[in-house]
Amino acid sequence: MNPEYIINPFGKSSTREFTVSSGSVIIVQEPGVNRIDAAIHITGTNCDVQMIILIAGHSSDNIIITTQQHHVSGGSRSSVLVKSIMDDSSHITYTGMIRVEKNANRTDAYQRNDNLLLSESARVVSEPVLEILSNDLRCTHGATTGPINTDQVWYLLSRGIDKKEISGMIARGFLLDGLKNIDSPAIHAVRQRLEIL
Amino acid sequence: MKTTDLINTSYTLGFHKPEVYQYKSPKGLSEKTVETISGMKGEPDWMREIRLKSLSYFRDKKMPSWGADLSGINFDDIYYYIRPVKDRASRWSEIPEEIKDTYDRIGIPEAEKKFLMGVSAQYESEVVYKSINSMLTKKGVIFSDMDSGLREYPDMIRQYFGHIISPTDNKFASLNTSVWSGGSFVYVPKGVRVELPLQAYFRINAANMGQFERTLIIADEGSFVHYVEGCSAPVYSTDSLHSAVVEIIVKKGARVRYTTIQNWSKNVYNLVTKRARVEEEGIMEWVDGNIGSKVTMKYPSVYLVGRKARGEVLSVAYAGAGQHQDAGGKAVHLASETSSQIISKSISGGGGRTSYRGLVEVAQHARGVKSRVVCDALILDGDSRSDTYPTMNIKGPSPTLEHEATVSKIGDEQMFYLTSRGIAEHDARAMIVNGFIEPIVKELPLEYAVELNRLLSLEMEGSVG
Amino acid sequence: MKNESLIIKNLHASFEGKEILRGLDLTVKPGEVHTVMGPNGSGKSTLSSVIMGSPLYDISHSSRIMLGKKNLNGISPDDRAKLGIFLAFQSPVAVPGVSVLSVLRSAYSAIHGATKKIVQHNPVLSGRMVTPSVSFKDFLGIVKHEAKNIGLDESLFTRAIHDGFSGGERKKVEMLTALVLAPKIAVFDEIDTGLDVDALRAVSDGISAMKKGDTGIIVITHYLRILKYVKPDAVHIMVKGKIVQSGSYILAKKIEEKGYGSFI
Repeated sequence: MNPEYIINPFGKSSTREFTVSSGSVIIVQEPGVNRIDAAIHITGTNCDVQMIILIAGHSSDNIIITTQQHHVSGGSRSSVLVKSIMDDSSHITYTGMIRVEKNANRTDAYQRNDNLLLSESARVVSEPVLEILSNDLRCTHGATTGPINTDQVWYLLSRGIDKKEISGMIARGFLLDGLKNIDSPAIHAVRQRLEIL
Repeated sequence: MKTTDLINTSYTLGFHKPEVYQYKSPKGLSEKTVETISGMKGEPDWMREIRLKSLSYFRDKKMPSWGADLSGINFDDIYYYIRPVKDRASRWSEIPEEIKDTYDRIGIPEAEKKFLMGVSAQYESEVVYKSINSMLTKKGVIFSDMDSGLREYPDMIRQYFGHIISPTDNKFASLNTSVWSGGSFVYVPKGVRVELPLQAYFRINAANMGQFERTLIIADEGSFVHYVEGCSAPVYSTDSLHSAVVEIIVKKGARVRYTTIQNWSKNVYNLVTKRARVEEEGIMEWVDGNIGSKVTMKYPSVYLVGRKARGEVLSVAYAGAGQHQDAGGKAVHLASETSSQIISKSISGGGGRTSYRGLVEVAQHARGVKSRVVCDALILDGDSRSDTYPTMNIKGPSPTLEHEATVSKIGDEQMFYLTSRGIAEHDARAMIVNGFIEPIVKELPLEYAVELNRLLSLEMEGSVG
Repeated sequence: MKNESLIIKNLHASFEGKEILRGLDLTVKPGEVHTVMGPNGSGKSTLSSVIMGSPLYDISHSSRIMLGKKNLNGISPDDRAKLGIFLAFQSPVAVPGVSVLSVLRSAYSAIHGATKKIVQHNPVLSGRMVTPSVSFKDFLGIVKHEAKNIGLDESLFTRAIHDGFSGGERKKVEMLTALVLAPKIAVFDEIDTGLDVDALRAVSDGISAMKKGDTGIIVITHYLRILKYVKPDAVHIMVKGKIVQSGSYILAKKIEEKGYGSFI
């Protein structure tokens, strides 16, 4: 079963609803958005839906992201990953909802939001919401927010890399990491664009 | 088996005694009720004024629009003040027979001998018994009921009362401030460590009773105290209301641990506001077990106001048939290098509902803040529900924040593994649940840990048996 | 008490409608060691799960799994364990927060019955609990003794079972459980994979000790090396859900040289 890839469906700003009833769908959004409202309704069994949203906040960007993983029927997997690198005095507000309906058994829903703060004035609000009405499931949410790890900086410095370069390197790596388990020509292009970001 | 049978068979503290009282206010809430309570207690004017003002706040404030369903509360059908005895006793033999028997059955006198440095027992609206180890008194530790505290240490109480939790904080804090009675007042002087816990036990006996105790704990610099409270009530067909306010001040370098095992019967609305202000390098730990009650809404909070202050909330909740446990924790980082950890474990079974509701806030000027939130939920059957509503509101620079939430059922593989070892299905289930809450149970004093595990097994027999 | 034989006749088992075991016969007498070998996907792990009564598999009506004269069909895993069946899992699942010792102790009490009642009374919040259990001291003695025999570090006792354990630690904990519970029939599903030589010897010694104790043993394995330490009474080759040939240790050696090719 070949996954279907949807690359950059949101443009700069948009509201999109995805209804998935079969197969495997991977949705990737590159940096450059300021508003996303994405809802995934899963109505079939044995579906795999993966959504990856990569954000880079600059200057006084005010970025608002909402995602919804709505499991209407059981036996499917969904995964949402929102990764952001936030610079200057940019703000991001992320609200991620997972709702599993009563009979959507054997659901496996995963949601993750990782934010890397590149500036002391950058701000993050992360609000996950889990509403679980089924009992036969696994549902996991995780979020981290933090500045660049000083051990990583020290390691790269000790390899002779210029200090100015390091934070960019780590930030790009941070976003690229979001694509690590996906392999397709469509994603290669995204990866290349990120590398020169 | 019907749900009511289950409640009656599993809840061993559900017995009730004939009501004994010196005074019982008429049902419902009025200025007159508030004045009567204040008058009977012989309070200073400033307290009576706070009470009356709070009554008007209570009337103005709306019921919370979020959280659990509170539509079953009828404020006009509640007794706000019941004074069971004339004077509080400091010797066990002085307590009226009916009440003494209640505490004998609960086991308070025995516990006092073995495990505790001080005991306070509240029956209906008033503390009927209190005692404190004489060694602690010599060191200057104060452990008394709030009413005596107000008489004997009015200045200290006036300085802090309502300052950690304002009467306008929420509708139930207003209500408590207006009609409060009983609760504990604790003061631990500089550098004094109280090695064994102080225990308070709260009992509602009368039907349609509202219990509104008020607790204030002040831990002076470098001191340590562990305060433990337990709660129970008889099983009645009508609902009771328990709405406490607990204010804690943790001064520089002090540490306070506050442990609650709430096992109200399933006809009690348990709506409690608990908050601690933690100064520089102080540590506040809330350990909160919610097993009983019909509805609980409780989010113990830490306000970290001094550099390097630390706050922890460990919360475990079980919701069975007809129960909604809406619990969690709140950490507000108002100073640099402060850290917090909230760990919540909840179990829902038999159609029960658990919700985790939490907030982590970092103020604009607070640097180097660290916070970790972990909430895990276990759902035992298809009729039960679990929700997670964590909120992070970050204004400060570059904090390190982690949040994890997991909702799952008991794994088939784990069940097969344990049953293949000869353990019956029901016991295997209980073992997995006990393992699930173990990180919190291990923080409890041994007797409480045993009791919590036992309560949970009983509850689970009821819900899945 | 005299140990009974495990008798498997015409065993058909399927998983989600797909037949995996297709008419398997096997008899294991007390004190015998039987080795079951076979290529990947031949149904070896299914066999071990089915003997233990895993609810994941459907068993046909004509299938028979007997312990002595007792038909095990329809008997739950815990009751099978109480009857004396044991399975050492190939990759045992972690049970967070539940210690090795508490699994062992609960299992031991369930299988071998209460020898002493311990009454705990908690005065603070009322209530008495009666825990039927073996005297903890005696029990701990047994566990420590067996752990020492297989070189298992006691520090593992209080850790959550299999939670973050290394491969070797998992296998040893499964072996320890077998020794402590002293079953009538024990199935070891790839107990030898991923073990270093010392651990392999320790596990083999455990199996030999159980054999002396009259336990009937099935060793499921890919490799010959464990057979150098535990001499099997019989070797069975399993292919596509059936035993296609049985023989002695020599049969195992033949497999090592020539592979399963001639059986497929």
